[in-house]
Amino acid sequence: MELGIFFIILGAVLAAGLSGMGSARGTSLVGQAAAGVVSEDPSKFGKVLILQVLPATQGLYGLLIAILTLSFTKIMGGGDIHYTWQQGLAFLAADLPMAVVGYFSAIHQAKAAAAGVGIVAKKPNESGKAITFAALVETYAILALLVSVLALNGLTGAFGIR
Amino acid sequence: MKDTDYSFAVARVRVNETRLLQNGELGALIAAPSYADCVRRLKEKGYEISGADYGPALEKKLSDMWALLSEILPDPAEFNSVLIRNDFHNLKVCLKALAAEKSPEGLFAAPSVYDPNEIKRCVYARENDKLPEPLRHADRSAYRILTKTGFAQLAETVIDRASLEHAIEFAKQADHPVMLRLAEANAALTDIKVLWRCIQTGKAESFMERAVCACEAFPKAQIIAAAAEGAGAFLEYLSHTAYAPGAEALKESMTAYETWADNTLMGILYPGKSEAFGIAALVGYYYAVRTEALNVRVLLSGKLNGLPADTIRERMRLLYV
Repeated sequence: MELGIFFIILGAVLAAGLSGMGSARGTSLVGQAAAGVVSEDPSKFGKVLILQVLPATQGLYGLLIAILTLSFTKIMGGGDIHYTWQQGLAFLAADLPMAVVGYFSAIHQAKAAAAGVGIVAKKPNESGKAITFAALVETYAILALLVSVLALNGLTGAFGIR
Repeated sequence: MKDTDYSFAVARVRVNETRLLQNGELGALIAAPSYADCVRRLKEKGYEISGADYGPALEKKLSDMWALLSEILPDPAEFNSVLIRNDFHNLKVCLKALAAEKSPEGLFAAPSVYDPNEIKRCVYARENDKLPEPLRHADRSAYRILTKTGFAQLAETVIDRASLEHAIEFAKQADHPVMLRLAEANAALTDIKVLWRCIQTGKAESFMERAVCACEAFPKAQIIAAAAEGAGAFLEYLSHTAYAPGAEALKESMTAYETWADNTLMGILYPGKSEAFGIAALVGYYYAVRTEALNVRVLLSGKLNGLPADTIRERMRLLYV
């Protein structure tokens, strides 16, 4: 396999893998807190479920970047494709914002969401505020997604792949 | 143990905190016209009180609390620094009962780290080496004092000091800052109380040496030297430490000091109310239920004895929630 293709696949794997790992850890953390509340008061299931879902989005963003990378580079479609190692590295760099920010933002968002579970436990009527605190962390995952998409788009144009 | 490992436990405790007495409810209870009215309101909060004997209802409240905590704590051993005082209490009860040739049954404190019946068996069989390691030295010393001098107060003091020292030791092992702060503050507050009693009863400096537990709040030699000089020097010494408000409370009465001491410990736990992870929220809940039970005991006892509302209010400890 050419080194260029290896780097492109590595970038896609990191984007999906790291973001997915962050989301898995995040949803698990909030899930434990949510289970604690629901075991005492099952009527709060709906409110804590929203908080648990929040850190799951980074995994989806990572998957999106992985698919875009493989699709833009035509690796997913198969065929006779060639990339230099420099081109491969450029695609890998484009994937890194989503991979790194996806991982860390999911974990930190989970901490904010788990703290929000405490708000729901004590003051269910304030659940909107708890969701807002956790949702704000999402901003940085979205920014990373945007950077990765723009970089991938720019690279396909620059390398004349389309 | 990472702080995030406590997320399930903390969330369960948060729900249970909503079932604790709130300040407004406690105020209404104090203002209630009669004991019967208090009992009626407390029943709505889950206290199963029948008649004038409120003890079993309070014990149930505490045992329910520990049943919950022992179920959700990732590692119950991390609570040893909080519970060990009950083991030393149980040791004290056994030694006193042995000396008086009575049974210690019904006097054990719970929850505890070690099985009180096993402590009883070892004490009665004088199998010191089979006692849990933290209790051995205190048992040996206290038993020797009791059998050779019959000085029960000194024997008790030796056990109390060992209790404080081991609480600090367990807190260091648990490696949770809140546990250590609590154990250190508890040792300092108890030292002050013990020394004040020594001053009031004219105890010798050698007694104070054996009674005081070394803690970070003040050098042991200095505080004992101040106490040996008398009440004035002791209060003056305290007024230059972090425990200065305690000196003011002591001037008022021992009851005022004990209330202030309990409130000081509660102040250490307050930050745990806003922590989503870690053991602080669980320790806070443990003390919250104990404080509520103590307040209810003071309240009901006051109502039964016809104390005025203001007197009861003065004796109330700060609530956690």
